[in-house]
Amino acid sequence: MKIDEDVVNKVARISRLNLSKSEVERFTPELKEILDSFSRISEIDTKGAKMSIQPIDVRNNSRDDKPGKCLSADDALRNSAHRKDGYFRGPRAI
Amino acid sequence: MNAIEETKRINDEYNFFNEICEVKPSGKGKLSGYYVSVKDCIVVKDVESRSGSAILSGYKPVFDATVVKMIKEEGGTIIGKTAQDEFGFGSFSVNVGKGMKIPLNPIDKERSCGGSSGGAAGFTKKAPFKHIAIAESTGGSIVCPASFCGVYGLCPTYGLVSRYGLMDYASSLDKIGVMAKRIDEIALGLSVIAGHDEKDATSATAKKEDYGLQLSKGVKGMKIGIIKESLGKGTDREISKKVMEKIKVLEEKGVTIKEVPLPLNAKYSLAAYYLIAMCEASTNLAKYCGMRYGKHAELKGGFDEYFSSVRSANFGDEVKRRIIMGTFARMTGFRDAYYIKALKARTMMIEEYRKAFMEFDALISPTMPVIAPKFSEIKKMSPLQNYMMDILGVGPNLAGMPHISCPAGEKEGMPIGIMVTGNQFEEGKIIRIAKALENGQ
Repeated sequence: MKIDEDVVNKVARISRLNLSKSEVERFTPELKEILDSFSRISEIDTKGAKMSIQPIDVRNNSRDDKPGKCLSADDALRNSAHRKDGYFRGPRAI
Repeated sequence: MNAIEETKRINDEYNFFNEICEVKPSGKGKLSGYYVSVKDCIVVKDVESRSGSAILSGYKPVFDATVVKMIKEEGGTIIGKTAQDEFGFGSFSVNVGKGMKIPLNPIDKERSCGGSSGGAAGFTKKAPFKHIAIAESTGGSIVCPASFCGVYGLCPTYGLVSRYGLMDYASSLDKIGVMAKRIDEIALGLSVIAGHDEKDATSATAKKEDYGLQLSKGVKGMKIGIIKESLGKGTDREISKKVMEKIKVLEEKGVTIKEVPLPLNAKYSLAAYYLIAMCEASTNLAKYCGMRYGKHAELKGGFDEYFSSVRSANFGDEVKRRIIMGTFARMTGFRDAYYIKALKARTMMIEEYRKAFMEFDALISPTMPVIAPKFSEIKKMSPLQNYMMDILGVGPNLAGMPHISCPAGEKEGMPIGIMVTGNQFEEGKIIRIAKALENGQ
């Protein structure tokens, strides 16, 4: 895969990042160099190998289904500058 | 001068802290009389916690991380949030968030503390009172700065210490660990913070242990492997020499030493680690959008416009690079070739370690291939050259193996670290070896 400025711009948009022209010019060769180096992973024959989502075996490690304390609405909203009537206020959705 | 004033004085000179505080203990216990610094990415109730990022400016958590709660219950006083690379993205603590200061090496201010837990290691070296640092590692962020600053740094097995209250970088790699001046303090700190936590779904169910009991057990009869690839090309010759001198100390104490090759890890762990870490980071950082906490802006435009604008204005370069790289490696058409491939390769690398641990009690290598570089040298490095510095530390992190960096002498007056890696949940063994190395100094 060729990493060029169009690809960097496209991925940045998907990632919700606005990059300036100079950032795109700087990041493009850097990301190309990084990806070229990491592409060596294709040399490993992983046929039959399972994925390690975690490095240790963790399965169904959930809490008992019992009611407990949780954050109050006030605490949940405390760090937000945008709140109204006990809710978070967000930007326009549509 | 009291401890807080002393901390402020040291911080004015070295920038080890993003925030200094005095949070009193909630009980008495093993840490009574100790001051504990906490890496900025671990939340402390009512103390600004930013994970080294401007996007979290103003964020004052409404709860304590589980490790912080445990420390307070055991009598520890929290003295502040230590400086780090933004979200842990770096090996030199130079990728700090916008408006934040770079911590300076406690031995030579022109050099890096290492990263990403740079402030933790630097302050551990300088603290003039009883102190333990709570640090965090995703791909070597405890052992690297411990090595560069000449202190002990232990990163435990993945899952041994609760991650509840840790601002995540890469969820399958993040571990909270300890730094200290002495190995008995490492054992003490780990004994306090290890243990199952039902608030963390990846928390292991291993029994709580007193690691202090390991300190008197000795190392006679142990078999340790020197990782063959770690002493060759790419590692400073003087560092290799010093590490071999430390290994002789272990031999004199009755340890059998043999070379062990880990070819898969040596060649591919860096690529697998960075691919997985960047993929996970790119999803974890999606939550920072200027709505619920941290930096906000005027609510203008639609969702995408607002989120993109807040994120772009407050994330640093390395954060943007890793989000783009991680998003790319998870996109349709590339996911199998990069992310899935790296997860399968990880299984094979864990197997390589497991095979080695069938023969050896622990593995040894230098912690870092170089001494702490000067800031002027770091400036000349490309991002890829930065990543390459992690070559010795990413393996055990990728495989979730416990590892510790111990001081192993000096080169040009700067500290060298020796790294001991153990099998999963065998922290006791690496603490025993570290104690033997400490006694041999």
